[in-house]
Amino acid sequence: MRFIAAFTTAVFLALGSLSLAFALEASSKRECAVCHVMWMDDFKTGEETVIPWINTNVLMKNAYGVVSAEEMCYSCHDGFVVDSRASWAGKRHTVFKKPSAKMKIDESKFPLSVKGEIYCGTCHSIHSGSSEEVVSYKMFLRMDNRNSEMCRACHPSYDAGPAKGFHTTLKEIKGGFPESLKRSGLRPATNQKDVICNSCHKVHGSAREYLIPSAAGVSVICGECHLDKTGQGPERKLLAHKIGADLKDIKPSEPLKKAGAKFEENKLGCLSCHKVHKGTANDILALENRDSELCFQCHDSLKVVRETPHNLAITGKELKTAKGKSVQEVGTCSFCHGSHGWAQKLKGGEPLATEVCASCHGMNRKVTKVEIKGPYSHSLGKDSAKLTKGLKIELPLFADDFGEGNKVYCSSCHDSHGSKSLKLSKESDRDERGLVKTKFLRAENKTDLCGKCHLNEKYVKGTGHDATLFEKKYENIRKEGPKESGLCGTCHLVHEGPTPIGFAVPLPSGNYPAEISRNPANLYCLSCHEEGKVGEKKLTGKISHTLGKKPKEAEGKKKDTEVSCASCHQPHRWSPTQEDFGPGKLTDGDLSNSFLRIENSKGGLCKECHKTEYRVFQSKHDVSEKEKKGVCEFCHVVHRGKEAPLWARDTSKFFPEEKPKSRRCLECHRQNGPGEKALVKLYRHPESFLLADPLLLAKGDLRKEGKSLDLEIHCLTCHDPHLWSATLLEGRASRTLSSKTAFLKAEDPAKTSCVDCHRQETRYKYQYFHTEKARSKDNPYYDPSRLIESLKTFKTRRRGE
Amino acid sequence: MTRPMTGKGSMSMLVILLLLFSLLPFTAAATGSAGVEFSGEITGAQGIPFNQPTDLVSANGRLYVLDGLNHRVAVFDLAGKYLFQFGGDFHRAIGLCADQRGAIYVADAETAKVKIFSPDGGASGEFTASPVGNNEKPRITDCAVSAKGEIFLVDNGNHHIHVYDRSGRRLRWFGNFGENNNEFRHPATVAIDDNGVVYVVDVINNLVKAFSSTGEPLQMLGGWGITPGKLFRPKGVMLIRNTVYVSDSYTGAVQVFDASGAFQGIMQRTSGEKIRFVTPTNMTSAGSRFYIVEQLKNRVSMWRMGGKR
Repeated sequence: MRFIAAFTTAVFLALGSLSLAFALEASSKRECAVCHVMWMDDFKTGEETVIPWINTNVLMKNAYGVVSAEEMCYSCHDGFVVDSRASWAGKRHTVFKKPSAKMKIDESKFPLSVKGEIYCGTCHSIHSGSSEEVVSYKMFLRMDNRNSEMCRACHPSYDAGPAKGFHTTLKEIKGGFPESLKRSGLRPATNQKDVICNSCHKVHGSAREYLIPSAAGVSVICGECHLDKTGQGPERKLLAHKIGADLKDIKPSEPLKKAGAKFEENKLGCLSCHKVHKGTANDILALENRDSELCFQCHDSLKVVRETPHNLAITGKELKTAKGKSVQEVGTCSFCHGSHGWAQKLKGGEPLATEVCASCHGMNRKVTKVEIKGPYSHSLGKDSAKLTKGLKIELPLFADDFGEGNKVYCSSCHDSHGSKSLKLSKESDRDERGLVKTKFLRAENKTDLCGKCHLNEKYVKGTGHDATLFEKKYENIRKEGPKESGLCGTCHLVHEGPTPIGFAVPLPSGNYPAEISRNPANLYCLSCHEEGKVGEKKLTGKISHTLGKKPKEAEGKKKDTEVSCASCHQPHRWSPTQEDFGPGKLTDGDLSNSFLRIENSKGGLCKECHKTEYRVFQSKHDVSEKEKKGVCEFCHVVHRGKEAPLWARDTSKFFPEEKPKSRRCLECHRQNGPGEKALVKLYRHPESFLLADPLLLAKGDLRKEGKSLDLEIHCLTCHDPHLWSATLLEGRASRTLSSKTAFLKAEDPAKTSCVDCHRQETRYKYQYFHTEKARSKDNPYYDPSRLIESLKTFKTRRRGE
Repeated sequence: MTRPMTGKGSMSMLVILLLLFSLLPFTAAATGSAGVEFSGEITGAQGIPFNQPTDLVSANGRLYVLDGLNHRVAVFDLAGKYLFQFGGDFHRAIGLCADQRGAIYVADAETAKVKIFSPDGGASGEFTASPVGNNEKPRITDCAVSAKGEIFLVDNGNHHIHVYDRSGRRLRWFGNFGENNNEFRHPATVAIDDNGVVYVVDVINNLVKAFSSTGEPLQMLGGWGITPGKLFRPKGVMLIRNTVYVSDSYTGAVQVFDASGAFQGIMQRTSGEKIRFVTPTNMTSAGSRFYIVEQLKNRVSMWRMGGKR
């Protein structure tokens, strides 16, 4: 304000009491010649002048005199009298151009130059009223423009309102005029509420074309009042068009561009759809959007949605948007994609990426005929990185707010517009309404689609779990065979599944112990691997690996998880090491495949839980190389065992009179047996000295392990066939036989129960148990009195005395 | 504004200058036997064009340009090669000046702050000019530092000249609104000669007024008119020894007066052609080089006396 006053002091105070009428006439008086330089008498004297005289009609009407040339204005507004430099810094109202033919300028009020051009003097005059008016509000304008009256005087049609395709003027701005706009040099009407031309346009010193002061673009100005329509509002974030988004592969049509749509810096802005002046009626759009025609100017590829069941003009005539509009009223696109946010009612409380689909298809939110029922559907909102091992996949992933992210949501699998899926459909796949039968999937068949994320599971194809290879006819619970359901669908339902993994196979009919049946992972396998079912050729047998117990030596999460079929098997991949489909036929497996999670020919899988037993590896009991079998396999089988514990063979035929725990050793350690080099002629302990006293058994480290507490003395009383050495962590077949090796349980015999009876003889007898000498009186450690004393103690304890 | 040579070594250069200028002034004066030749222009710094620069000063063997609406001071060597810049947070600063030690002062017109920088652009202090009595906040458009270290500030809004010390204490002020020899109508710029005489450009009174350091009116140069020796929109003043150079932002002329106020001529090319700059404002010199801000043209044009390079 003070700057204005400064200028007027330079002119008005000099004018003094001169009347306005007088000032308009040529006068060499200094007050006039301050601007009307050509009126100066100096030009009449014939003396040299610093600047030449220019013969122009300096009266404003139909004139373009030096008085209103830019240099004259700037000679005071350059900062040294008034600082209006900002007005020269940016864009400004068109000057030195003829107004368009459509404009009707009242030149009696707003004179043009002699060239018929708009110039500074068209709008400005120092003589526009009293000094008070000029200073207080006229701002040297030819008329009061506080409510954009002068703007509208030349641009009268721009005041026509939305009904004729123009932005509202002189209407109250909800929430008041934004302070941010005031800081940009914009202003509301004099009532401080209504929008006027100067609420968006800054006539001098604007950063952008259209006299927009924001360097960041027109949309920033729009957004200050229409935050909810920019996709930045709190309620519908990202559900509106993203203002400022890079167009990327979107190519706006030529008709749209010709209609005046703007895409500054190849980015989407408010003016990409809207034309604030001379737009369409009511919506002030660049083009009419009848039946979404405007939308298709950029999204032409999505036009195919009209051929799908998502053409609600055909399939949902009775449906309404959240605002109660029908599809006939708003068009195909806008029935879901409202002008500036999702058009359907959102329940809230869930990620937007789910909500948008659920607004029509969600449980208890039945809007369409296609409702997702049932307790279990494909998981949503999970990070795909675990499945995809961090690899970039072809399907789109999202953030919770439906922006770009790394999570799987409905739209990861479904292309709701059909632009992709319809290309994959056949013309014959149309219903009676002419709509393509589609589930909007992003891949030709379900198996391919699943496989884009489930990189491991896709290898089920060609394995024994590929239903197309089954010998028996198979149908899932929807009575769909593999042809109808797809490969994955034979076992899994993506929506409306009965279990968390959408298991589609009828559950087993047999009665199973609780430790088996309580874990669904076991039941899923038994659903097929049961008598009479498609997997009946692969049953576990009566003697099979323990289920339902926590593994003692597993690590991490496995430690707290009960052993199930899924602990060792994963049903989707025939071989754990080969990234390929199965063999393409039903075949017997081995330790390198068989749906095992870890290749097991070296016992790697068993080792995960049986770390102690795995010390047999490379010991003398590791006959894997010699027998061409797995490390564990020569002795043990996991399923269909011949006798406990998971023994691979029936040993009773060799030594039927022996106890089983000795018998399984003697099976090999016999004449002509594979272990004949370690043949033991003497192996039985005298019967009368069997261990039978629990009190005695409760003593010592060895007995606490409980592995041989069967109150008998047999091979396993002293030996652990998995431990070549009690102290070495791994077996070493080359080690010399000694008390520290030889599969003896204890390096120190004193730690065995033998010492309870044999006392100081223990070491000798323990080490040389299988020799005659150790058992005879020639035993150098033989001391009958000590033995008798020990037996007395034993019997006393046995009686409980 | 006059830019007396300041900084280290400036005295020796000044002696050389005095000799040169006594023989070869920028203007032909009455003789027309000498003049200047265009030697180049500076239009921006660091890839950013100037945005209505207003002032410049040669000091410390460098050229400091106040780049108006870019709110920065861009620094060049005397050949116009960019060196560095500082500031960036000025508020409509219009004037800058240098003291005898080479410190740079930037006057913020909007905040009335005077910011002091080291020759390399490091901030070394600031103070705020306070209004006189009930006047409005000063609108400082220029500054000049006397040999005594007194800082003269042009209060364009209140038509005063303030005199401050470096600590920000106002020592005195003079001038009021009016047309008399001790009054102003929008004083714009200020320069101080070696004798401590203060020259103030009085824009709307079309004069350059000389004062003693205490504000006693001494004489006036120019006056209303469009003939040689008269002023229409005087803006900048530069002093070289006993010669006063005054730019006129509307006519584009730089007119030359002697210390007595007698008109000497209009700055011209060596060919005798009078030069019309585009909206010229402040000027400075260094040796035989002459620099002038052409504000609306967003440039500093560089000239050589006698056209020699």
